[in-house]
Amino acid sequence: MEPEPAKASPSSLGAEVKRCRAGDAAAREALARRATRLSLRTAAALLESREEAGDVAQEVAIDVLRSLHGLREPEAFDGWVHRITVRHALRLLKRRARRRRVETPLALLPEAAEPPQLEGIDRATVLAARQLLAVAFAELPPKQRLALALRYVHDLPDAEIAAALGCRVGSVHALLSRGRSALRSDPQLAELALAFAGG
Amino acid sequence: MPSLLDDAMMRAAFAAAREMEPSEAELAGVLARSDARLRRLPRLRRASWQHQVALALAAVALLVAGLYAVPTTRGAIDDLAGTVAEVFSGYQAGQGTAGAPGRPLRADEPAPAYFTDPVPGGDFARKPRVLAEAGGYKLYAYISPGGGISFDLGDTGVGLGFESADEIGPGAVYFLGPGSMRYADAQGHLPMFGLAASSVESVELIYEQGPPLRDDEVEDGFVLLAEPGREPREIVGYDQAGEVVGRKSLGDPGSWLSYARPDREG
Repeated sequence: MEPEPAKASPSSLGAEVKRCRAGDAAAREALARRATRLSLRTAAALLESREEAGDVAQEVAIDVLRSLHGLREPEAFDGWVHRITVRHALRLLKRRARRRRVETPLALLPEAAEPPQLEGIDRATVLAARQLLAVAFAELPPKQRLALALRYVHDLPDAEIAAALGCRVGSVHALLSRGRSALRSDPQLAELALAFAGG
Repeated sequence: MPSLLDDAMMRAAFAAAREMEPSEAELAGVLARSDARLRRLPRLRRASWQHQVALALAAVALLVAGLYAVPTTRGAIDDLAGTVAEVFSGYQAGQGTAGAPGRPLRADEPAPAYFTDPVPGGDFARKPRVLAEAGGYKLYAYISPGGGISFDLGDTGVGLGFESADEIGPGAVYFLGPGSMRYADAQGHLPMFGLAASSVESVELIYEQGPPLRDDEVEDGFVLLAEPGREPREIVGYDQAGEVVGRKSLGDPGSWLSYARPDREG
């Protein structure tokens, strides 16, 4: 597996975009990898199949590379990838909703990667939280799921989530709180959250 | 429960997504497909320019030399014939069903549910056609609500869309990509979807290892159940006489190994 690269600063990302536009193959590959990775991680928090998450990520990355010349602020590359991912994901989730299909996010499935070691929290507690979230998260409306995924997978602040979702910062705050509130309504999840608080 | 408590739990629960990496095959697919689209534009412009010049020459020749213009005109048409774009441009333009690609859906044939979702002006998918099928996977074409042309890769809700059939570009074989392994069999066959010009009667998937996979019943599209462990390298299109009329590289053959099941590699 490709090791996680150092977090790129906006200026170095902007430079990479400019190099790519100038025909630099290495810059193009680096941006393709970055776009695919960002999108894949969001899709894994929404869809239950690795293949489908990969398909969405590839479509997003192809869109990104194809329209790179239209990116006005090269430094805002990541935000732009998130916006395109949101568009693809919403379209797919809406289709799924019409088919009344509930998605258990890939990242929350039992076969997902081993949970991290957290100080004071045992592995069983994390696995239990994952299992309960798998059911509760899938029931949330698509925009709430997307807002939570952008926050807890990519650690984006409210303003960047708002930019990705195309809404106001206040709406993001509402989406996140409603999503968390819905998850909190599960008594077992609320109890587990207290265990995390104790940790 | 304050939100900070949720934060720790949510981050821990989503740890798998936070660390997920694309495979090399996925990356190769992105580079190959986006590159193909980038290259298509200048080639399209060149074809358009050639077409205009050829037509102008033909018109001049007709005026000046009468019958001598016929070979010139035919040459110009031949240059543009036999492309994938040609197959789908009439279909998108709304010409009748006589020349439409593939076949229509049968009355009792199940199709993706969203095809019939109501949108202003009718169903979500207009004029749906089945271009090819294999192993439970079907390749569909339909006109999307915006008037573009879309291809659904095997009833998974994932596909490719083009605003215009011309964007598909010149060439007799077009590789749409691998699909989700929704109906994967015990051998872990990977469905690979593509489009073909009307001149293409057969396609072969050439592997790095072992004999090719051949489909002799190609009508505008194909679904090949590939063995990723044998490292797919290229798709070749043949006409009725067995002549090669199109080729499409699949990028680095080794990159497909990530789709293979461990016990099927090599």
